[in-house]
Amino acid sequence: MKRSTFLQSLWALLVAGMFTGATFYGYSPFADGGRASPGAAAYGPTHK
Amino acid sequence: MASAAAPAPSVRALNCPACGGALELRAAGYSVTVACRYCSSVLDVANPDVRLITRYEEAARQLEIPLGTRGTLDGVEWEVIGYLTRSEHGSYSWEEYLLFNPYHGYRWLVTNGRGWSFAEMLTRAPGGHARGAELDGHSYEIFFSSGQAQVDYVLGEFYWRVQFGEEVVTDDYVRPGWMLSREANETEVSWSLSRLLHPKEMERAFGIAAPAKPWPPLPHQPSPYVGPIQTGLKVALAAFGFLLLIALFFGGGATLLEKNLPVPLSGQSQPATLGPIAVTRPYRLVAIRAYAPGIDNAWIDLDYALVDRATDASYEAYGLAEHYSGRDSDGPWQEGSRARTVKLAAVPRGTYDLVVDFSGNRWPGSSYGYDAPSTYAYGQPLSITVSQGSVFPSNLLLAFILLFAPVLVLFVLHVRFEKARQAESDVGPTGLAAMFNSSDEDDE
Repeated sequence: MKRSTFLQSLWALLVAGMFTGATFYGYSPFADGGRASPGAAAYGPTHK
Repeated sequence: MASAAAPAPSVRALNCPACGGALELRAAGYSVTVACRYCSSVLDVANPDVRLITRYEEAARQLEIPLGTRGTLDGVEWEVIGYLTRSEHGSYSWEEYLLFNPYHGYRWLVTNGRGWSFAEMLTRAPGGHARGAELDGHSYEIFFSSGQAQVDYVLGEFYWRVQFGEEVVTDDYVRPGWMLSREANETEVSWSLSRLLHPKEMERAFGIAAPAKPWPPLPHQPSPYVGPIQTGLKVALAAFGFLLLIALFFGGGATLLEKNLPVPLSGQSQPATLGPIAVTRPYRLVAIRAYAPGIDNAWIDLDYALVDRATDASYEAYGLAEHYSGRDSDGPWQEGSRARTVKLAAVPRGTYDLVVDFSGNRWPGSSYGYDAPSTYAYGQPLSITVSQGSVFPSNLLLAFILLFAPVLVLFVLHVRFEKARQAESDVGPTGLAAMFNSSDEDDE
């Protein structure tokens, strides 16, 4: 097996493993969480 | 050119009539010209009486592959019998070694210092097409056009009457790994096909260390990224297909709770506790969707706390449903979203209550805002839906980017390679190099 094929397969395996793990753990780095700190949200339209 | 069935030539000894140096004719009977290895004088050896064609008194060069060296390429042992250097009137010089095998004839080893090619004269003319030539079903693109190559230096023996300053018009056509060359003078046109040798081949055959990664690339150097890109695409597609299957079979969600709350747009915070909510798997993503279909020029702040009844562990998040609209000189406008979903990651199995602190607010800056009449009495309806699942679409998107990122990097490297390779071409970039050629480079 060529080195590039090996490395790409390894990378794909790593990504697939992380995705599968995240799926079974219900995890995402983009999940929401934490209450809003006072003034954290900006209200109102941005339309001028 | 000698054929495979031709008899082996005898080695013939002779003396240079110019300097008296002892010479050895390795392809006697085939060679017609010898350049003396001692004084560089060119001799006619077609006849038994050696005749001086051109007298020189120049010390012979030390060659990278000395004349008489033998090496095996493509399973055939070749002997170096001649050497010449050529250039385009002094620029872009290259070297050519003439190889001989009594049963296979002549071949050439060609180098410009960045790589070696193994060339064979063709006994047939390739076909032509719009941008190049065609030979044995392979298409070759024009790379160098109408070059003027002259002989600058010769040493050893040759099968034609080679002369210093001898000129030919050259055209070179390439495909990855191969170069097709046309040479023409007033009397004849000849074609040769050369194969780019791997540095290891040259090292095995003649003990020459060639650059492993010449830069800029040679005209017929194959991009080292094409194979890895093809492999990377297959691997990434297979892996992403697998992830889609995972998402399909394990990503299903279920609604755990649906409640409606009246939210007055009074600006006052109010709590509500919704439950029970049973998370049935060890770890799940929990999505909380808030939808306020009636709000306009208003927003609802939503502070969530998903509290485990058994452990009091709390998972908190913040949501905002808002919608604004109006009219200005450009016409009506609207922005914001009346629905907002927040997602909590890795919520353990258990029974939960959802504590919602909500406050409805009217946007004071709008002169066009209004509330539905019911708002004043009961508040705007707010629907809260809690569901569980396992696959975040963002995870799938991230996995897609990560899987194809190496392919993208390789593709960028491939384009860079092609642009560098074609930068030396006489006919301008083609293919990907042309596609990604910037206008600045066009101007240069």
